[in-house]
Amino acid sequence: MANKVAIIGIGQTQFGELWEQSLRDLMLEAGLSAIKDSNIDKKQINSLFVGNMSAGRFAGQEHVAALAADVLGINAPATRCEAACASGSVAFRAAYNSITSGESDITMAMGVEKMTDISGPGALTSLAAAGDQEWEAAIGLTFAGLYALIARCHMHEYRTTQEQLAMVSVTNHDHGKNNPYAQFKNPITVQDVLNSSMVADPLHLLDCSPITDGGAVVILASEKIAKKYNNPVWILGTGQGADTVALHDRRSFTELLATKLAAKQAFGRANINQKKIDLLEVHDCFSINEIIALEDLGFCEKGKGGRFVEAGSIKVGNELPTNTLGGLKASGHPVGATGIRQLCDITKQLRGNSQNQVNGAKTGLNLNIGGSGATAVVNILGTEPLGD
Amino acid sequence: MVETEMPNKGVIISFTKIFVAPEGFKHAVPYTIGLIKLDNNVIVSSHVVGEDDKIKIGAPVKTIFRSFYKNGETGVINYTTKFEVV
Repeated sequence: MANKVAIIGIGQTQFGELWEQSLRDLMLEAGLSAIKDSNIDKKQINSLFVGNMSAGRFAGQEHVAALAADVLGINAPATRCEAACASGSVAFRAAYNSITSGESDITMAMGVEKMTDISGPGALTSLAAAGDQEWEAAIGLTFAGLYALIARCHMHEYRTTQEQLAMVSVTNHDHGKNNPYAQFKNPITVQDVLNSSMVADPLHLLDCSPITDGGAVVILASEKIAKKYNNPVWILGTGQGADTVALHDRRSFTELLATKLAAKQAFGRANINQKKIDLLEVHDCFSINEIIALEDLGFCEKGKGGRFVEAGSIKVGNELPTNTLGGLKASGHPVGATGIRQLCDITKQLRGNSQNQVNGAKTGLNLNIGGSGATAVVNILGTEPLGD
Repeated sequence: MVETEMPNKGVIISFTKIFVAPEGFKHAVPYTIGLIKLDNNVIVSSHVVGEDDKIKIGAPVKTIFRSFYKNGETGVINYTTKFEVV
């Protein structure tokens, strides 16, 4: 059995258009809040892993992991992890592996992105670099466009409707209203989504997650250290799947193979099935992706995701609470930070102190996706460690 | 590595009309991009031109040589292969 690892501290900044905070400020605030939450001395941190997609393009800053360690006053090996919008979860896995390998006892996984210092079209160009530059970005195929191509296929094959897509955003906004860190706390209706301007047909503006500044941090510890805490949240299983970078090279346009591969690994390592999962954090960069995630993770039948959402199953209080504090749509999507923010939100639930608490939550799962599905990471967290 | 010539005909698998463009494509909005399955089963992403009501999943298409964008400083027009519904 692999070494056991737990989350002993979480922290994040406000998510939003933070024009008075630089990349450095976000790193500092998220890092310090997690250190405070964990109650450790920062000198105990043996390593730092930073998920960041594109500080070079967004803020003119590379060497971001070293900068994060620097601003936090941590003298330890600092490594940047990049996998587009899955950068945060990939950093988390690197941190986890640093403990299981025996190299670290306590490690920090940070996700951070400062996106709003450049123009909107500039941000779209930077984000498009997560796709295939020669085949997709070069012809003006945006990420909204890529997910619109997926949505069109799903609607054609399974009769998924615009209203069902809209319900994803409506539910996420509803969950975001109690989240003090969320970019959007305003409720929206299906009609609002359908009336919002078209971004990439069939996806409207309110089907799309926003451009966001923000940082989030989790602190991980080995079993020996974590056992001294009242409420450690244990990592039960983790998995990472891969697929082609260009969407057009896939066999299917209505599922993400990388999600299925990552889920299979994570469930296998945790040795549990979907029935044992109390809540989800999934990657709703665009509404269609939450529907596909529910299917590919095995929580509903292929093609039935739209109906599952429409029936209200993903609302807090119902069958499968999903994105309980607003997901990417309402919380905001600072791309490198999102995976870590998902893990922070699950940790709050498993500690029993979420703003939208799911009663009796014992296990949670996050799915973080890079690009149009070239990278997918699934982590399963629980209140009790894996058995020996 | 073997070079293979691609067929100039195919069928639309999916398509989207893009209204919010990245840098360099603002002049072109809205523009339509499709997933085109060529006659040899290779799938490519490409611009699709023509009347909206003809652009549908399953519609047969063929290649067409069209202008793509103007180079900002020199004004040189770049051309590319796009698809149109047959």
